[in-house]
Amino acid sequence: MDVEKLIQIISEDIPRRKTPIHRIILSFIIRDFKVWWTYKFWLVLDIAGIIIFILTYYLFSFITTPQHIQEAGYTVGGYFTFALIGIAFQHYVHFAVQTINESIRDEQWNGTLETILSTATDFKVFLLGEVCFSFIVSSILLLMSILIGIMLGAVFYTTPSSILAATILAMLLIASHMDIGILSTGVIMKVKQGSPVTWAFSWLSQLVSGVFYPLKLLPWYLEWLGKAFPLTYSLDGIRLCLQSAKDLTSPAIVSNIIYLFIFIVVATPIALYVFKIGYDSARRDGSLGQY
Amino acid sequence: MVDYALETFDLTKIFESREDGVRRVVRAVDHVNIRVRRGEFFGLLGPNGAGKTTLIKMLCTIILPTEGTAKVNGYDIIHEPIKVRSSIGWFHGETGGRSLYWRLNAEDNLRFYAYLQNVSRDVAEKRIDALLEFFDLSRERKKLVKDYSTGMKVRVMLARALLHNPPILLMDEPTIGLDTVSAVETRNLLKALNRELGKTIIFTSHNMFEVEQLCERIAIMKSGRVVVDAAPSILRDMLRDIRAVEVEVRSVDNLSELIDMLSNLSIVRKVVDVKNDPIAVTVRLQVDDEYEAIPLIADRLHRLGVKVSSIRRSEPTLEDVFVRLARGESA
Repeated sequence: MDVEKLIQIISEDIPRRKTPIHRIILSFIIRDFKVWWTYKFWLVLDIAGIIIFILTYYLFSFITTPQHIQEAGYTVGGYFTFALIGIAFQHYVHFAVQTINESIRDEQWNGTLETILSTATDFKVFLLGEVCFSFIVSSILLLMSILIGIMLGAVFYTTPSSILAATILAMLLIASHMDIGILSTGVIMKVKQGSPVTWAFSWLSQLVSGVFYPLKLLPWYLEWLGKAFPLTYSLDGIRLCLQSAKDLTSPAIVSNIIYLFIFIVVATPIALYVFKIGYDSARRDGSLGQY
Repeated sequence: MVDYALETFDLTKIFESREDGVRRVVRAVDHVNIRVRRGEFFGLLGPNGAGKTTLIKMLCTIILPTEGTAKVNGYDIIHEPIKVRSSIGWFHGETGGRSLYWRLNAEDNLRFYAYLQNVSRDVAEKRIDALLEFFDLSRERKKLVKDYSTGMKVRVMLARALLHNPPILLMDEPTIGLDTVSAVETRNLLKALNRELGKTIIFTSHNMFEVEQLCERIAIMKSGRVVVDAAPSILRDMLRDIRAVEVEVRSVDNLSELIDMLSNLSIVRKVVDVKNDPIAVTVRLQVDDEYEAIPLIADRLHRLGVKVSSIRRSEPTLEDVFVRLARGESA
């Protein structure tokens, strides 16, 4: 093609209209899916990892008594269902805490962050686009974990209204943990190192939030510490919904929702403030594209 | 009233860092005031570390200025970043193709950026086809970028900068990594975009030849400051006192011995440039008097046993301006 013809095509007088946000987000999802699809071996490893993890707790359930589970108010399913819910919803925890940070690091690593941020797309839309594919993958992995669990004998006791309550709690779980993710990304943009905030939060919450065992089994001080983490309230609420068919009329569910809501109201402005400091600082230092 | 595509107002960027507890302050860009008219082809030159890339990144809104501001297409880079970004096509050649998604093919890369730049689907598809054809990538459009050569990646990046038909192109070393044919085609394309569509082009390069060929006006940066801002012909006039000689010899076994010998000649002021190709070595020298220098150099090369292809008087080029300014001499 000669220069004149190319110029004619690219200069056609067509007014640019703002691309709708859903179209931009869809283009991020398509991009991430296509990139992810080139790593087929990872996909196999991800699924194998889930199966092995669930099998471990399935076998572990044979040597535990369901007594503590029932004492905690979770009516059916015993230890395996209890642990399965903890494992399955960990996918959302990982998504919410790590995705923004990992996406930005990936863009920096690829050398694409500065190019994206020099486009007409707003930074908030960019962040939203970056997390959508991970949300879809996490949801698929969560459902896959539940299905594998059911095949191995996990038992749930639910009603449509308890599933609705569990969905609301799952969204609050994501929103509360997303605050931690946003905050730690702000720190990482400034210090260019893995954030101790993310590390400490992820491990501590896994340890003391009742992912693998009821809080009552912990020493009093760890049980007390566990009450500071939003994951404790999310998992407790979700288990009550899925193992005991509790819904939004249950005081236990409402109190879990209130705690999570207060956490989000307090943490969101702090997280956004820290993120803005980190982002502005990286723009001032000229280190936005560096990892 | 002149309509400027780009204006900077005391634009300054200071980087601070700490090394071994010692605070270091670097003025990467220091009170730069440049004005580029709409439709102008403007060259930005300078040695490594002169502040060109920092300046361009501030114009792209990627880096915040420490002081001052700039207007791009009439929009302020601090307060109207989205409007600024809509107005520019940025190519940054120093990344060598790293700024693409290597696990996507060329058309998926372009399609993704088209949406981010508010180009509608139909228009994007048409332009992607045309750009891939122009840059000779049509046959490899479905191949993952990771399997492309550096030159092919550079061509995809150029296509990306043009996709949304911006009025201002910030071309940071656009011919870096391109073969000769692609470099010529790219220069022709930029020339045509400038002449036929009135695009304003800010062009940086280390290739003095292409800067002289393309740019109507050139700013030379040194240590964050613009030390010269003039037309190439004016810059050359400023160098009338420069006498230069170009020596071409068959390839030599010991190049540094040859360069040492030439630079130690009393009549040679400095070695400006050395091009070492597989079949020939070309050395450009600044001398006191070219008519005295030519026989003297020929004699010394003959004694050294070097096979000389040519020794000739040479007109001053921007390379000479560049070397002069880079060494801190006045133009």
